[in-house]
Amino acid sequence: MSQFVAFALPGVPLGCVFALMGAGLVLTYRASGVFNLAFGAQAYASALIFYVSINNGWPKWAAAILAIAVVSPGLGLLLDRVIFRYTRTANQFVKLVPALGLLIVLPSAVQMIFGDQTRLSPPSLLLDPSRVYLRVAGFAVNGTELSTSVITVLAVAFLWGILKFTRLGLEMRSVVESPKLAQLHGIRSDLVGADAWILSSLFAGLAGVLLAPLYAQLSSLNFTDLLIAAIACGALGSFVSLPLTLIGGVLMGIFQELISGYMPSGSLISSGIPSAFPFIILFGLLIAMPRFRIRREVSDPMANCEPPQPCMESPRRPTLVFVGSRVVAAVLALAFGVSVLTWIPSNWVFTLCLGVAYSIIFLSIVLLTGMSGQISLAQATFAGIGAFTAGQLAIHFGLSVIAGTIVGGLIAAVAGILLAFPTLRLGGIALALSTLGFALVLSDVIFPLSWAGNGGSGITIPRPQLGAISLEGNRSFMILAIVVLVVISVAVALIRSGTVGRELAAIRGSEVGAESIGINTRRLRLLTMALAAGIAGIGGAIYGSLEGSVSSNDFNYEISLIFVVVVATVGVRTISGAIEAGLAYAVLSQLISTLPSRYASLLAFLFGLAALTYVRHPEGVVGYVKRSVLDISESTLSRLRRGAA
Amino acid sequence: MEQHDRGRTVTSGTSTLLEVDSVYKRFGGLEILGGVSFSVERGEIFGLVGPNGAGKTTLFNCILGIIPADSGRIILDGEDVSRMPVWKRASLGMARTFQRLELFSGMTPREHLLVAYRVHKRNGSIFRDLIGHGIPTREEQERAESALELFGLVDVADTPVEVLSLGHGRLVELARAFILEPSVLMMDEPSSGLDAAETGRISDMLNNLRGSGRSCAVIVEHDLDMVTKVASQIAVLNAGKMIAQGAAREVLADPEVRRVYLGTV
Repeated sequence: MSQFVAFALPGVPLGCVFALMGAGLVLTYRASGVFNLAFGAQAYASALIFYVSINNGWPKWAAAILAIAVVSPGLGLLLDRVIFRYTRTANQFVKLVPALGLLIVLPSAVQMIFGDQTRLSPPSLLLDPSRVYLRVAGFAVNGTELSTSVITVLAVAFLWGILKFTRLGLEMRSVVESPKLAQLHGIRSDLVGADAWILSSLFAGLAGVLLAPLYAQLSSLNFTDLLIAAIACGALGSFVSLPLTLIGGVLMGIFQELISGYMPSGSLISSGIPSAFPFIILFGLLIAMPRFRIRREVSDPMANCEPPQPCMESPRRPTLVFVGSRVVAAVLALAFGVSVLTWIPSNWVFTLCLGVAYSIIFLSIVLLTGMSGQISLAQATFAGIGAFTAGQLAIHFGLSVIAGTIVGGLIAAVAGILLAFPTLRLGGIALALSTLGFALVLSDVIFPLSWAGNGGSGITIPRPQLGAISLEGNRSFMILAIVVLVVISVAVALIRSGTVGRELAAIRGSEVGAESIGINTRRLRLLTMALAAGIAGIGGAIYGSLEGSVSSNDFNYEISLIFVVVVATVGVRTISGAIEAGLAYAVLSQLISTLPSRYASLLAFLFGLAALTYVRHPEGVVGYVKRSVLDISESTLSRLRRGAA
Repeated sequence: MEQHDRGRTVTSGTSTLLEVDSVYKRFGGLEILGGVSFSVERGEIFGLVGPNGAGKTTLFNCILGIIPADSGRIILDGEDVSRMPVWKRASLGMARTFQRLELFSGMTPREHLLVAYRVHKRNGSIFRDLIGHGIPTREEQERAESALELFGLVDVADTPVEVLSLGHGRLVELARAFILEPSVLMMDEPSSGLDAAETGRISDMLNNLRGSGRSCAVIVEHDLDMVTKVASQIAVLNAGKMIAQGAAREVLADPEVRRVYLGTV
């Protein structure tokens, strides 16, 4: 019994932090409709500011006011004004992409501003962390644990009171339903939305400062990992109830500590399971709770009075412009192929080949998100399954890497089906979150095992051999990669223009409408999930074979998030978008790797920043530029014609 | 309209096409449908009227399976479809329109009809669907064109649906349901948002449907003039219960119906 208490007790402050972040998430979701995945990153930013200003000799209270009450709410206000006020009536993907961008931008921005040195033993906000203030059943409770628990309970109660009993709380709820209707009732929707962001950012700041001393080191990873736990406790309260979120958070903290306490130490699984515990809970909750089986998003009854969104499909162009653009694209592709085979130095061929491998993985996102409207945050995980399968088969059975790549794609597709089955009924954000849970469980529990990814040390994957021809060199391997890319691109293009593609377009437009004309949406969702996972698996195996060795770090969930952001930024609707995204990602990361280490996250920063523009340009930045170029050439052409006539 | 048999035996011994048998539905503690039963014969237009909140749209949702009924049976042409998913019921011959439009945003009216007709005619093999090329066949083009003409949508055929007016949107939904050659056509307030000429078009279409004698229609409608003109049978739903059912004129003369729905005149 005493051992039980000893294991369970440290779980309370940890669970309180889960709950604090969960409450912040619930607040943003209820008051602005955005699932703020960047909440952890916001918390990290304010914890860092607290740390840095104390190190610069500020008194603790001044640093706390700066970090919690000035910088954090200010950031929230800025985010609302610049980004999220435009997303209030948008669909879930449009809301998700800027939040993902933010999740990536914030830590890399503060890292570039304040430097990337390690910051040990973050300061505690209130009481002394080394002093024992009281004993519970004979166990010491130190200052950090006490202050964290007490402040959390007070803060959540305060928030609950605001939402439940004040006019502001009522107005916030009405603005989420329909900003326009709320305005008709005399509510200043814009102001209320901004208030929600300020309040929730205040919570993020508080959570960050409270959380930091629970870890030995201040690192952005601790915060983003915690986010999933926070989402899980939010899910316990159905993203509505704050008291349930608090209780859920505390229970989860206790369970997590109990599991790591009683788990036999030493084995890889025992170190993976406790950290994967919140993800397993989240995944289970999403599947089991009927509330998340949303078939359609709640839509603003006043949405019709907005001007329609610009049509995504490219408008019909005059023949000359259409043919001209195709010729330019073909010439560019040919020039690329010839250059790669002749004059480009081998190390750059390697980089471009990485780009081709990324392009293949990105095509899976085009198929899944661009064509069928599903959001998966696990595509890097599927790529990992493909790579590890190809590698393990080559190591243990001497199977050729080309065959291994195909088997890897098949196994990834099977994993995709396994993920798709329980999540079939989920839509939008719930599907995205459950794929994120899946990605985390795999990268924390399965990939470290020796028969899979072999932990941080990874496994080697040889370059393939095609009969007598060796594809050892970068150039010859590039040819193989391009062939695979072309085959998959053509396949995706055929699917898009075929019956399935039209049916997917219908489902994206209205799932209920699609079912009512006899489209089997579940079958199509399974199919696209399996195909996308398979494509990602093949891309991952090619990536692995090119790199020569891969580890679970190459395919963790953050990579998946970056992938989604990169593709959304460049163009999620088109095949060319995936290819451009792949090449740009590889080339830019090569260029940035030559900069000083402080700028290591510049690439993520740039793409994250670009993702913030997604609300304005849902066709992607490159898509927008291309359309503008075509528009200009079209109008020039017609002017020339008129001049001639 | 031509009736298509999809390789199953049609039990056309009886002329009843749709039978709704004591359907119950509760949302939490609220009973929305309290044992609703009715049946619709081949060639019949069945009008469903009642005050707002009576459960008409929920009944439609239960018939097509968009919301599962708590108990009760839905029988389509002799086959119990109560346990089937929505798409299956649709492919067996149910089609409907929605009170709040469910259009495929980003697609044009023509594309709506082409995809619906393709789904209706497909052979069911997913691999064929996957590699089947997307260019519409001549037959598909002609079908779409004639449906566009029938519903007066030729002028807006290639405009994305987001830009269309509510009335045009309703007509696109009707055309999309119609091109499926349904045996049971369910329309949820088809005339709301339409002008007199467009309402007339729908009445004509329904009269044709009755004349063909192969299919039936269920319409939820507040425009009583239109209902009495096209419907041979009328049922009045109030607070989840059928309070009257029968020939149009008799039902509308019923004192209880006048009290709950029409008001004393």
